[in-house]
Amino acid sequence: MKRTVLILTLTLLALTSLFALGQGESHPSDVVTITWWHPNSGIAGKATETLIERFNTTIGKDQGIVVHGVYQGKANDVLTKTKAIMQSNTTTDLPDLVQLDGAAVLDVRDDRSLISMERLADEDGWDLSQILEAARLSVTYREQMIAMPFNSSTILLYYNKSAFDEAGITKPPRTLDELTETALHLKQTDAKGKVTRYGFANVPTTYELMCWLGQQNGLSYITDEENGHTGIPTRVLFDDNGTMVNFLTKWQALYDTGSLENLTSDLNGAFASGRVAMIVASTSNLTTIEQMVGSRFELGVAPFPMVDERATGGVNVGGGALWALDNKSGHQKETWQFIKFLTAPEQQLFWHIETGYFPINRDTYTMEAFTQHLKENPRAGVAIEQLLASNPRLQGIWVPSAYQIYYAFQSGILKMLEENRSAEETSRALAKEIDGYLSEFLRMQM
Amino acid sequence: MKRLIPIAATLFSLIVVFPIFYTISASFFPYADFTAIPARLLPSAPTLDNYARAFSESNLLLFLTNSLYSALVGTILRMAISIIGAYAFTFMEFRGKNILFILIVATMLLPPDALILENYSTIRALRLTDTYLGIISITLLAPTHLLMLRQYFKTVSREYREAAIIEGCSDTRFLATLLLPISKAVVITLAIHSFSTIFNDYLWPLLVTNRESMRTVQVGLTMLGFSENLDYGPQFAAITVLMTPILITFIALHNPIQDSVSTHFTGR
Repeated sequence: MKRTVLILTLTLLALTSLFALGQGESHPSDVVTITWWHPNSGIAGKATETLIERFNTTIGKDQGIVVHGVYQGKANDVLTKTKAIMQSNTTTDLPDLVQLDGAAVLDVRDDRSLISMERLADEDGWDLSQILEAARLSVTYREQMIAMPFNSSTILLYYNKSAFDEAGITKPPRTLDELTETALHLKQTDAKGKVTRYGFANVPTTYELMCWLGQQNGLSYITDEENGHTGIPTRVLFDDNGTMVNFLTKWQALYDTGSLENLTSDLNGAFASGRVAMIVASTSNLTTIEQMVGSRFELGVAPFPMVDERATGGVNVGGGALWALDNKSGHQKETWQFIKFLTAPEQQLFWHIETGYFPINRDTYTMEAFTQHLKENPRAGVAIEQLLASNPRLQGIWVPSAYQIYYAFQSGILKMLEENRSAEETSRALAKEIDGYLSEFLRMQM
Repeated sequence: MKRLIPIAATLFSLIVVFPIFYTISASFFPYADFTAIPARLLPSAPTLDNYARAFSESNLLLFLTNSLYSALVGTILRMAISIIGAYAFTFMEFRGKNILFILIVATMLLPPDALILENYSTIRALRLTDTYLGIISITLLAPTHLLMLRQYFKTVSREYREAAIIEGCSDTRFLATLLLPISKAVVITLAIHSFSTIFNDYLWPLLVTNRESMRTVQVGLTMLGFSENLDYGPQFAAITVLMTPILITFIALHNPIQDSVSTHFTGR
């Protein structure tokens, strides 16, 4: 009997420990706590912590605001968690601020708990033109800036400068025609005719096509509604306006030289090991690629190649943004104070130096420290110049079924190369498939 | 033919053992070894730096404690519920027994991902977010365990229990002193399975916890962020650390598992 009592007591004690740690933290009532959910880990994680601490010890201290940063897993996990709460209608669990990447736009932009960033700025009389136009438009939906761009990046050409020197090539390619010629010179084969070094590796997906299609004729859109920025897209435009056929023709010519490798994953690794002489990747990969290449060869970066001389649109801004949410705490003004701090020129400079994401505040670009930093890091300078020279209206696409569309492009282009389809046929087939996804989504909305 | 079997078995075990071996080996790699061409199997100069960094750059010990605690308590509660439930469904007669059993087993058909939002709402309504109970509660009822235990208990003759009851043995005593010892192999196999499932879960613990002090090790691992920087060393070190408890448990208990597998799958 004694033993039973003892066991029962122990069990109950153990059970209470299950709850014990669950009690909420208490804060003095005159301090407002702002919660920020983010996916920043590693270097970016540390920079995030520094920014939060800087705020909490300066502006936060003066105004009685404490920012609490919570790492919520990878970008996709942050979205899963945010969506779970939005759908369960327990909006009081939402953070005041959440950092999500481009793929999340469709899931959150129509949610009732979303607070328009433009409204927060307007209420404070804060001038939105301080933000780089391309970055501002990248989060603009139906003429409203719905989020604050934060971890912004673009696409960039990385090349093996040592291999270029060996082959006697002095300039990185500017257009796809030049890329084809350069790639052919860079290709190396062994005695048996097996390729030991490819000139270029890529299978275009939405990510590359946003630029290669969008930059044509000064500015083109992949879908109607300006790539989904003015409403829900209903059909694709690339087949009718000929941008896809134009691109695919160039792409086929590149493939025909035998110097293109159809590689869909670990391009950074293939490039760093020297097996591929050129790749295109996000500017946010710069530090990683520099590290991986090490002293193996000299790394060069250059603007993303244009499809042809008439494709002057440049590149679009991708990456993530900060979204303000209404969790019924009534702390919108305090949240805005923190966003304003993060967006300030000095903090944007710090964020750029630490992580490589480019500054979204225009005033950062005229800072002495910034020009100095670019002088010391000419590769970062190339990325910045390319961005500033791009048409700000060239924008990423916001489409439903983004994953299916991503793979549709990839498999459609592979099919063209490997099964000898014509560019026209491929463009038509892609248009039909993607139109199908778009209309399916529209039907579900009705 | 007879000679081929050990060869095939060795080959298969090599395939299974290789990733574990490589993970442990890579946890001692200096940075340059990861990008070496040709790739390395063993470190050029073994270093403990990766371990030092894994522990200093994250709260690994706290996360590991959280994971071990929730996996252990979760497993004990889950096994207790499964064993008692299976016992009732095997040896007792009550109204609606079959319908109840079918209902419970039918939940096996529901994909867990489809339930995650509803589960979250429930846990949140019970105010169990940021608690260990929140992390383990959705794992407490395991229909597969219940089904497997019932099937096993059914192989025990009913007369065996009736004789014990006539001799004045209570259900509790019969379960504890007679039934469990003969079901040891199944119970241990299921317990290990439970432990590793709860220990390895990523999305659910991430959903129901917000505070760093409540994070589990799987979430903590991504927090290290080493993979994005292609700085693999500390990540391999962290993986080795969190693999160790499971490996130890498995090695310590491998005999009963082997027995269970050989009696169930070879019909011995």
